[in-house]
Amino acid sequence: MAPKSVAGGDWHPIKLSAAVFGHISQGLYRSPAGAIKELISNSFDADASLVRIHTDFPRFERFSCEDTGLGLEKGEFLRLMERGIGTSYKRTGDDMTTSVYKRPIIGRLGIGILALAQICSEFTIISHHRKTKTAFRASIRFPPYTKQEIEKILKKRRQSPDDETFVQGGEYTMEDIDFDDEKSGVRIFTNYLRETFRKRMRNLDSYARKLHLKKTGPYKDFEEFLASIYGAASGAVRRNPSLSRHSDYDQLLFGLALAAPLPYFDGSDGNIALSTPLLKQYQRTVKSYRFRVDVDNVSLARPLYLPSDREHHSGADCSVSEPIDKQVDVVDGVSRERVRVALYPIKVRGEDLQFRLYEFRYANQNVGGRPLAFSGYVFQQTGRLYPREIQGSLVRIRNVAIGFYDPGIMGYPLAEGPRYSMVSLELFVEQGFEDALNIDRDSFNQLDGHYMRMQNFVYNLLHDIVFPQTWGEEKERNRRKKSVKESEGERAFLRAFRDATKERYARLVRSEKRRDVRANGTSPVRFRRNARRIEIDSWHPGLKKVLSRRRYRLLAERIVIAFERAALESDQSRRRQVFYALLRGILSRV
Amino acid sequence: MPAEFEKYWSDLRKHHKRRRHWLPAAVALARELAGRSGLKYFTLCARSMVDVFMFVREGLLDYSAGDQMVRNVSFCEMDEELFPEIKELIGLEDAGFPGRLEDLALFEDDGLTGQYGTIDEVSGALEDEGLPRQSVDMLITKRRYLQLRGSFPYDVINLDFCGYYYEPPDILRINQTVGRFLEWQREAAAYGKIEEFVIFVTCRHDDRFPPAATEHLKDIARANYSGHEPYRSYFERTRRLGDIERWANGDNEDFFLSVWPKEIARLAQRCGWGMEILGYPYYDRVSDGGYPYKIACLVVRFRNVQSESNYLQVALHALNRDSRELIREISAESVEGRQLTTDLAAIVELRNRHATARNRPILQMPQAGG
Repeated sequence: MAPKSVAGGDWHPIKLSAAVFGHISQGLYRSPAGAIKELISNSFDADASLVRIHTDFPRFERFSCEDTGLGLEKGEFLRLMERGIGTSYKRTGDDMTTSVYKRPIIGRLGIGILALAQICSEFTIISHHRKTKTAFRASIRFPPYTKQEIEKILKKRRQSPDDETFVQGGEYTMEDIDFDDEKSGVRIFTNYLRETFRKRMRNLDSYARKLHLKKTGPYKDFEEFLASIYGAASGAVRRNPSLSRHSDYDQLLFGLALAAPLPYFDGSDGNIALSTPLLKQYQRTVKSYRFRVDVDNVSLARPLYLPSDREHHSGADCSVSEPIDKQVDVVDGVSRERVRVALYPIKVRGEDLQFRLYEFRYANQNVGGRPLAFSGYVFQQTGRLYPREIQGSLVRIRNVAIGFYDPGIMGYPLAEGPRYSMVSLELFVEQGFEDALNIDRDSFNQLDGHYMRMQNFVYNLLHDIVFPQTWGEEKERNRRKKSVKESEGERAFLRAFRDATKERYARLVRSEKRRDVRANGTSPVRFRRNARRIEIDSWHPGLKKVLSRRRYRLLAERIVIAFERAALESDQSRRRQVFYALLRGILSRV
Repeated sequence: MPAEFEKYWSDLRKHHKRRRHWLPAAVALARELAGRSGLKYFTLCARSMVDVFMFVREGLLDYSAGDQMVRNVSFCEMDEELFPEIKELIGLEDAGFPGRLEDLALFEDDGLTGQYGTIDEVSGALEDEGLPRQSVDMLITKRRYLQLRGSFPYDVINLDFCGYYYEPPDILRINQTVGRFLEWQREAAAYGKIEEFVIFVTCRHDDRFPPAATEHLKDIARANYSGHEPYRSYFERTRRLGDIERWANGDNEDFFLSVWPKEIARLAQRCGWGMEILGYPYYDRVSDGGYPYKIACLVVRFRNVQSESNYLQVALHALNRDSRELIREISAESVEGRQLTTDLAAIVELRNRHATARNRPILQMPQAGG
């Protein structure tokens, strides 16, 4: 049957709230992942079990997003177009859930569909609505606005910010098509990707080329993708300190995997974060939503794989001990609360490293007159977390990440040095927080009471419990590392010594005992072959300035030893030969 | 592809065509190209993708079961809903060209697009968001055209058109598309990238064959008739007719089947390809509306020849009724029917494995008779 036109086959204007327009014209989302995340959230709300996204990698000229959900009803679509996008509230209460999988509904303003404006100028949407057994096909265009037009609209908006004004946000055309139950869901296609998006995804600019970005997809599966991000478990692939060394495509995959309401990746090496009760329960809950997102045939999962340190320790190397009860005092104005925190010490097999995982749950029925509840965890490891993009804090509302990990941990006010880079925390909002969310659903209004209370809790938790634990350990670890390095350096030097002089020594000894010597007349180094040790008089007046800088002291001592040993040779060329050989031995370990 | 055609993937006569004509041609070519990891294949495979998975099963394409990717396969699909599905089953994002093949292959520059010669230049022009929609469309089509052109050469090109070869209103568009492909193959041959390849062209014929197309073919036949004595004498001997007009009006099916291949031979001659018809099967089909028609398929091998054209041999070959194979109804209970069904089932099983992994609809398994 030929499709019949509902909207007359003509293009009709899209009514858009001026507030939303303001955001869109300025780039509503901070990243392509932020924009595409909105489509995934729509599918989650529509009880889709699968969302398929195709990016047309590596050409990036076409984009499609299909879901297997209930579909968008024609009337709802028309309401969005004609009554103004940005005014429709999909959810009114906190406990609204979807009908099939009982998922907490994410969407609110009905602007998800507009998210695509960030990456394309026109798209087609085909929806088969299961409940009403109707289907439609529509095309939506977002024409580019001139700077003057944008300024004019925004000026009007600034002059009367409380007026609910509308602007033409684009145009659309729609027609009815035959309903097909097998096609139930929403399909979005576009050939009109913005060139800026495409260019960025292709990393065509010379800047990216200069950086020698890592080779990117296509990936066989998510495990392969994670291996490229975290480095192979074998250590064969070096860990990248940051995703900025990866292509924008990798960053898109990572961003979507992080943002979407998906379970954690639970690979063969094990994710240590999943061994505690709260996270186990959380993982079960998210799995019960039966939601899958495939991007270019790769099924995504939450890309957090802990621990993630330079030494490639994996979850399989760790064992979690019994929890220890801790308490955090949260003081916020006149409000004082004591929140229980469970600390799980984590031991690393064969190493004296100590990782920790803190779990907590906060609930208060009256924070600024509204209830607030959230739970979460802090994972803390000795040494920096790789990549940088999992360092810091991430807030999830209804399982969807708001923005990315915040390395400044919600504006933590004290200087904590490298310890920021050793923690990764997630906060799962269970109740409240809706008003703290900005319209882009990618950032927060930092003056919102709920946000400030959470901030306060996090500050106290980190300051009173998490960070103090790490101080002593860091010191001890650094001392040990230094000592190991020194003894390795010494052994290497003595080996070089043996090779160059055929003399065997077991130790270098710094002698503090003063003897009566004239400044430059006596050597500060003694080679005691019987005792198999080399002694250097660190107090020697001639060495005073040479050894004065602590940082280079070891190096300077060895150079002095090399010089003194070479000076014992009678022949000049032999002196030179010995000195150079010893110098090589010293420098090989610098 | 119209829904009507989607149901024919399991037709045993169609599979006979695949198995007994397409496959041997591809196998023979692959043997000559021994050492390569697989053939480079272009197809209009539609949703069933039986041809692709038949070649995968026979080891003719570069395929790894582990990651379920079929490399070096390109397809063109105009249905935007089918496009991602086919891409998923192939397993590579850049395997497809969206749109109508003729529109891409026969793209002609206008004043704007003519200024941009490379993909990067076209992309640069598209960065201007103030361009009129028509210009954007032209630039996007140009970019796809350049990509399609850049993807050449192919070892096997399967143009399984579901309609007439001479589809109104512009009856020569498909023929021009085939011509373009032969030109692009020739360009690649100039750089030593290809020496020989095969093309399968499938189309429809019935008594509603466009009259303008018949007139076009008559002109070709007349030229042969008057210009080539061997052709004239063979025609008069076998058809017992003295003029082309009566032939075209009296037995339009034979007329079409005899003359159409010459159209492709002419294109080959122009591009310097020696052409050999490896197979010429055709069979009956009835439309949903009860209308009978024929499906004809030319299986042709092209060789890079500098010597004289073999146009006349091709013309005579096509004129010879015995060189064609009418595939009659194949009973599922017959030996041939059972063999074809078993083979098709194995292909479908492999295809469905990919579809299941991607959560896409699977094809119903063909049932063996008896």
